[in-house]
Amino acid sequence: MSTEINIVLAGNPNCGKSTIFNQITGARQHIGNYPGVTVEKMEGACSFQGHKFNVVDLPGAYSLDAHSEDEAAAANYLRESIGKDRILIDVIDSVNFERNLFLTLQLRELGIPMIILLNMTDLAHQRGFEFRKDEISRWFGAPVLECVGYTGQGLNEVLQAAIDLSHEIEAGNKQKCPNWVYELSQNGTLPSSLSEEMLKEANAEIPEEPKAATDVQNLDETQKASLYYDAISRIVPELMTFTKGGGPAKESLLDRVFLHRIWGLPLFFLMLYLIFQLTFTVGAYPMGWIESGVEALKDWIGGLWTDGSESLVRSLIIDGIIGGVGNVVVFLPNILLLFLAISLLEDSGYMARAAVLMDRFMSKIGLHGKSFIPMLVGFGCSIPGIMATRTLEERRERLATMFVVPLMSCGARLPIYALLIPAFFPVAWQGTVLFGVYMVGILLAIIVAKVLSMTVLRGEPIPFVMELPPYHTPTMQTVGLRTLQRGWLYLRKAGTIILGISVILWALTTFPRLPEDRAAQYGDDEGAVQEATLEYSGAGRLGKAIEPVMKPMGMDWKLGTAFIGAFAAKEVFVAQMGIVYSAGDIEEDTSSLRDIMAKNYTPLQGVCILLFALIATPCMATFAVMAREAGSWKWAFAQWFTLTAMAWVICTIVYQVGIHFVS
Amino acid sequence: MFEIILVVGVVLIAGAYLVRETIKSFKTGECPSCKDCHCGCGGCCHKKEN
Repeated sequence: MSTEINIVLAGNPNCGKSTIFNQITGARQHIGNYPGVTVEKMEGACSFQGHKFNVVDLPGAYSLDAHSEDEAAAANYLRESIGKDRILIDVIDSVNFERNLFLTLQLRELGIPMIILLNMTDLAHQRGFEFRKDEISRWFGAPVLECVGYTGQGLNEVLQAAIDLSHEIEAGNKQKCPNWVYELSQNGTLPSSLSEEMLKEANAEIPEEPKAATDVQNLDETQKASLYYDAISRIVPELMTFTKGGGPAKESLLDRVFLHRIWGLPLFFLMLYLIFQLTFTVGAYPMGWIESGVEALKDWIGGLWTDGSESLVRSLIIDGIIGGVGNVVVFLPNILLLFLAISLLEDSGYMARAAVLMDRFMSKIGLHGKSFIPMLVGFGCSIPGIMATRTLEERRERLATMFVVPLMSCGARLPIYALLIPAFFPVAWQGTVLFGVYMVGILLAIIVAKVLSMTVLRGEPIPFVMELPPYHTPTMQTVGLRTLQRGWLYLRKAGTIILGISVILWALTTFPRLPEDRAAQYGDDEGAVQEATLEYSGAGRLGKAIEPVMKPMGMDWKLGTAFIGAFAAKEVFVAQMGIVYSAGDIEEDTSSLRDIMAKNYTPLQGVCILLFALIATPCMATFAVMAREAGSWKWAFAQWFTLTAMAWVICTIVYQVGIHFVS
Repeated sequence: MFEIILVVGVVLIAGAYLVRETIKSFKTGECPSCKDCHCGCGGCCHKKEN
């Protein structure tokens, strides 16, 4: 008997496949309550009852007649699975049972050994739905099980059913496509003879006379779908019952508030505003503790050498590594709080409503609401945001959306905001300013998308159809795990990429060293010596070279080198400022980088730095993904150039106009 | 002398690591900070080790 079983999870978007995948394999695939989160197949593994399971989670598809790249990915994989040693689990959203059966029918036609899994049965039962699993099993020729994916209830039974099916197949009892499914796909009929055979034991009534035979192969997609849905609607009364009446579903009551024509969108922005306030007000306390810890570490390590030591190793550790990485790690609480709040909104089912709310605006700029979903994903990171555009059916919409996703302020920029906003704005304004930064990004994304849709990417938007997932109470375990995982990723990035870059930037800031005869020119003025040393270094020379470009924006060469480093990873901006000012810091009472920024720059310059960080080119990983997803380096370079140029123009205007009004 | 060798060595290792990650990032489109993640920040897809 085989002890290795290959399982494929397929189903409509939002039916809970990824939740089930995570529960079974223990993997941490991101769950979002809107289509586009899974855009490639995901693989995982687990063990159960002495068997090893290889599990593949496919992107959601409403039909095997693919309209987008992710549906195509699912359809191709399923067709390739015919005749292979794989068991298909068709995950059905029980709340939308009838609609999900369309894909079930198509999957059954493929003839792959199959298990039908009714998910979210808790919600279905609340609505009074009861499923006749034996009838469903007889009509579709496959075992039928119920489960509640997000609690894990019923999943052990699914794995056991897969084991049993695998044994049956090995014993030669292969599942076949039921004859009526075959007849439907070939002739467009529900053959009465098969119905009689299927139903004679149950003594049910024979359905109405089958339609005249139709040449299904010559029907267009809409006609074929209509035929299938008609057949489904005729058999559904045999498969499920509605046992009780009830008031309006919870969803419709909540949606009357959240999708209100007038108040829906302001409510969404209010939620974002409250999240940003939370990030700063609550985050300030743990940030302070971590800052104190970093300073204490610097003092302790510095104490291992004699006072005034010019040891290179000491400088590398304190100014380079701790100065760089330490200043990034300080912002971990803000990252955790922001992602905790966004995860709560996602898990509750609210975020999908945001896409519906934005559809009205998106259509005015040549896109539709579905384009807002990759943008929402982009609030976490631009890379999955760009990849989530695979759900968009039209290439021009896909390109336009990919182009503007980096303007959705990603999590990597948050340390920059968390550094600058408290440096230049009072506590009462900090949440508002952060909210403003995000809104500027969204506004610019809308403008750029509009310009693209009027010029190089002209075309009419297609109608927006999106399934709204049911609301449910966020699972604290899932939300908490996802938040902690995000924090771990942040620390891992700090300990790898940012550590590496900090070492390089320290070397650029330290070498070449100022010759002694030149240092002697400044006499006892330590400040001047430090400044000259920095300017003489590699980073200083690079910064001075680009300073003419930075000056109109109110920025100096130090900020220039920081933004160059930020191309590798946005957080490096903070690391580089920490290194530069750590190397040049001669005042013992300066306790934090925020204080140093406030001392060396004006609030107007702070605003310009914020804007440049928001708008300018994304990180190199985003650049690479843009090239890959757009299928051309031309688009990646166009995005890089456009965003950088736009950032320069806007910041220059803001600074040059602003200096006439504020100091 | 030892200090200079140590510091130069650390800088070279850091540089080599960054070059490797950059090339890998451009070749595969993977985010260097979460090497296996394609689906969302905070979500790493990987085969569970048995």
